[in-house]
Amino acid sequence: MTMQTLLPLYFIIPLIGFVLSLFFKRTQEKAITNIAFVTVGLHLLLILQGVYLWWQAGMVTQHLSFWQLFAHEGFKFVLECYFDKITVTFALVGGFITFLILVFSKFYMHRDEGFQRYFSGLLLFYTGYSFAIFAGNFETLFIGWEIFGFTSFLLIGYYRDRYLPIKNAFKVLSLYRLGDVCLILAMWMAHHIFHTNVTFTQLSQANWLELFHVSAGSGALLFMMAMIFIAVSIKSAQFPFSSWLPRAMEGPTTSSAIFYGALSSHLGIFLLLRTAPLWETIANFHIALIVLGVLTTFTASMSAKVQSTIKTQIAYGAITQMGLMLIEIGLGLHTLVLIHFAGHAFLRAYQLLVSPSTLGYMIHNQFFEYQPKPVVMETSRLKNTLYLLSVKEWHLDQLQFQYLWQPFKQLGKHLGWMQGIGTQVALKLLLIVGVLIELRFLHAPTYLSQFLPECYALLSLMCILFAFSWRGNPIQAWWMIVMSQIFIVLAVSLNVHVETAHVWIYLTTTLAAAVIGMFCLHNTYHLDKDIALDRYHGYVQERPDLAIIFLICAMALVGFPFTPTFIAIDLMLTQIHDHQYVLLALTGVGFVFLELAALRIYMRVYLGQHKKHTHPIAYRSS
Amino acid sequence: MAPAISNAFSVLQPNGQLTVEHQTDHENGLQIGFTVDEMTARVQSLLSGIALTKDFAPLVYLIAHGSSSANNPHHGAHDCGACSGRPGAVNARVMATMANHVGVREKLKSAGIMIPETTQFIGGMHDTAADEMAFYDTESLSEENAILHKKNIQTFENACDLNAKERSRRFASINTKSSIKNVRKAIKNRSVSLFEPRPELGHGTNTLCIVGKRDLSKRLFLDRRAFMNSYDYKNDLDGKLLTNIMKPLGPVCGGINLEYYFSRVDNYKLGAGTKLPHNVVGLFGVANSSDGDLRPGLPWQMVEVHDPVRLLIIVEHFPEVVLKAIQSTPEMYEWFINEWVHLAVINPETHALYYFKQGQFADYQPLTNTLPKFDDFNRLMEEAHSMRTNRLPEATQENLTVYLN
Repeated sequence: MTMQTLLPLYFIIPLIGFVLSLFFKRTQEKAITNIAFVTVGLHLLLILQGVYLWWQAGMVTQHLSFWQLFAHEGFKFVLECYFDKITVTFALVGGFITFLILVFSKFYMHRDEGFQRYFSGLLLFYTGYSFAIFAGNFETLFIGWEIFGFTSFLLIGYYRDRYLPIKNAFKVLSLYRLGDVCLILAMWMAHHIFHTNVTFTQLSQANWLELFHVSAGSGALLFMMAMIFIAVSIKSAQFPFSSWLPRAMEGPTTSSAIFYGALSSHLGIFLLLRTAPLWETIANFHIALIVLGVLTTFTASMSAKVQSTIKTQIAYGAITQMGLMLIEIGLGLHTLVLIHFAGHAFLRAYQLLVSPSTLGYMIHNQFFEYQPKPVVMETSRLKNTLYLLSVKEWHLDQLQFQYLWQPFKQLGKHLGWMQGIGTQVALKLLLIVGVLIELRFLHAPTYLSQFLPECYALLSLMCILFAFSWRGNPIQAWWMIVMSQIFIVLAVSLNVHVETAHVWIYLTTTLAAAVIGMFCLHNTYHLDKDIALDRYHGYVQERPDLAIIFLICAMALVGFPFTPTFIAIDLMLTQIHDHQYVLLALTGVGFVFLELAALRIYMRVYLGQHKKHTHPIAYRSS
Repeated sequence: MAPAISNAFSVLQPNGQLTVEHQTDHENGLQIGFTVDEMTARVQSLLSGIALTKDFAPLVYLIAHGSSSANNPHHGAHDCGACSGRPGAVNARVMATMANHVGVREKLKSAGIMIPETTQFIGGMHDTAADEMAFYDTESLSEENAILHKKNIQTFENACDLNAKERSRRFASINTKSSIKNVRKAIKNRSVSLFEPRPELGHGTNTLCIVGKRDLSKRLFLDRRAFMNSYDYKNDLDGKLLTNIMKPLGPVCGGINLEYYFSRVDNYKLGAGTKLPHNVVGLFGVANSSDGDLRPGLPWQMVEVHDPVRLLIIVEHFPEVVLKAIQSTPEMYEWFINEWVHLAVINPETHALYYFKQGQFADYQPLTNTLPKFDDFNRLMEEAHSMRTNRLPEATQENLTVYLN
């Protein structure tokens, strides 16, 4: 096989495996594990062959654009593969660890309630990983990145009948979503700077870069760097976003090992290495990386020393190492980082897998040689302060909630009046007016028309924030999310003329998802006439079918990759000009909360402890 | 072995020396070792408790139990509860040393227990997860006894084979129909597998405790449900020994039973839930994830096969003697009068059954007087069906009924 035929297979094989795994029941353990083994095993073999071919060809970077999903004027959406040193390292380590974890899980997960769900989740994760690792452009990378975040949500919230996993899954998802949107915005900026969809091959070619440094304004450049910087710090749990990683250890130990020990958290490092040509020549970015790395290494290593549970210790240990990796990248030691990553991924995966053994080797087996540590009473104010701060994880979790999410929540609560009939009617009127203006039946006064896109984007954001903090009937929240989507289309099409076809791509999927989702909620409502969003209802136990359909609808509505909405969102973003910061900010914040609002409905209605006593009910704090 | 694996036999080096007899040493004001009188009291109470006071065989085995486990925070729950959740090899070896002690034997003679000089006690341990056995201080055996011991090892091996076969039917990773050598190997591998949440099923399915002669339960197949306590009423017509035997039944057997009972009845609140996401906290417990509560009880993987029924203690003696025995101390009586465990009595002469209810024994008529029979133990094990899923109603369907051979 040549490299050109191999490359698309790296995307297709895991995807086929994932789809196949959906057709089995939990009792068909053998079939499910065989699919998983064959999928990842074959993928790994093909990677080995690819590495051989690549090595024979003198380790020249390989790339291939193999499927053009969409093209319009300057905008192209192409699936593109890329194969270089970084890909090889991440693919080999990822494939091998995934395969090991699958073998481990075959026995570990035996007879588990969600056996099928778990393996499908892992295969979807691997699909996302492959998309991200083999991606040849930002769009393909982003597909992987999104799938990754979504499977994280599913596997952290794997024990869906308990409260804490759900809560923490959402916490992690919120941060991931913020990172996703940062990446979207970086892509958007790249598109404006290069006037086309830039591929990593183009990125690595020097003449492009000169052009880019000369032509692009420093503001645009700074913006793009900042977005990548934030996305990286979130994904790799750097300061001040460290606190999500220990909280993500909610699923079965095996999934924690592969996600948070080995692969998921290193994706930030990967993104940094991948985009290196962009920032390599900018000294300040290197300094920023080193500062972030030092800060993270300091805070996380202190936390790691005093945490009381083994998995949080390992999590903070992992964060510390990733801080060191940032420093290495900042110093330009890219090859060292690859070695560091490989060793670290294997070590953490192993440490998490054997984490239940700490009791054994720390106490049980050492009873007869036990020597108590001498008690040191020496203490000082500084020591105590550092100790308390480390135990409290530097208050990062609280600070995030207080300053990142709480303001939006409050804002959403203040929008509670939007549930009133008057407002609802007014919203619909505004919608009609907007459509009429767009269709040129109405003409807005010129002093207003230049602000119209911003106005509609603001309306959209208001609807989303309302849905995000609404505690009443979810059907109302769902409806507001749909409205927000229509408003955002209006906002963009009022901004520049958008082809009707594009609007249709967007609206048909959105509306189909909206209607089916509404149907699910409606049916669920009629079970007990109460699905208010002020608590968890756990209907997945009673109606798993409705739960999964609703989840798919929610993801389609918010533009999960593989739905046309995704391309449309991407497409419409590019219609926002690079000087329209207000419109961009409104749309960007909207995108963050759009997915959160939709998944919040899913969580509250379908996940959590079931309210009926026909199912086992766990304590909320267990 | 890797640090993740806890080998039951590692608690005691076979060639290590134990200080059993008290010489003159004290440490921190505490006496080291036992005096001869203390040793005699312990050996006497053990022997008369199990009615082993005459007709001694040349070799008497004292077998402790322990459990090898890998990557298992609930490892202590498989080990010996009376040894603080650790393997019991040390206890067995100490007890054997005491019973072999010349001074102890002299003193036992005056208590009426004549142990022939040719009789030797051997301490050993059974690893209940790996189904392996080890024996201690075998070099001190006499020549004749060493030959006998060699023969007995084979008998123990056969017993381990059968035990492994019986256990293997519950384990999906083992083909019960394959050769016994393969089954043994697979059982051993399970106990050292990092990825095995069920290295053994421990006391799962326990429902019975039989205090009486072993003849009472001969040829009965109980599917690993019973605690067995050898006891001969003829040695103890007034029930004095019985009081000592029944005293620990509540806390030990009843305690184990209730631990499984409650963990199974509400595994979410009273048990530890599934062990797959467990996170070891502060080296003293497990919790779910980083901010969950400490989890009490046993995890789902340990109790899924358990039928939550209270322990039924069956004593072979006269009802009035048993009543007197359980009423002798209030803390023991609470176990019975408050119905934490069931109590039934078999009259050793008439074989009539009595059931303890509201402070007295009443006649009891069993629902059935016939039992299904089996001819071939291997076939019974190989043909037993296994659960479809481990959901509440389905998991215990693989438990077998009581059979007669």
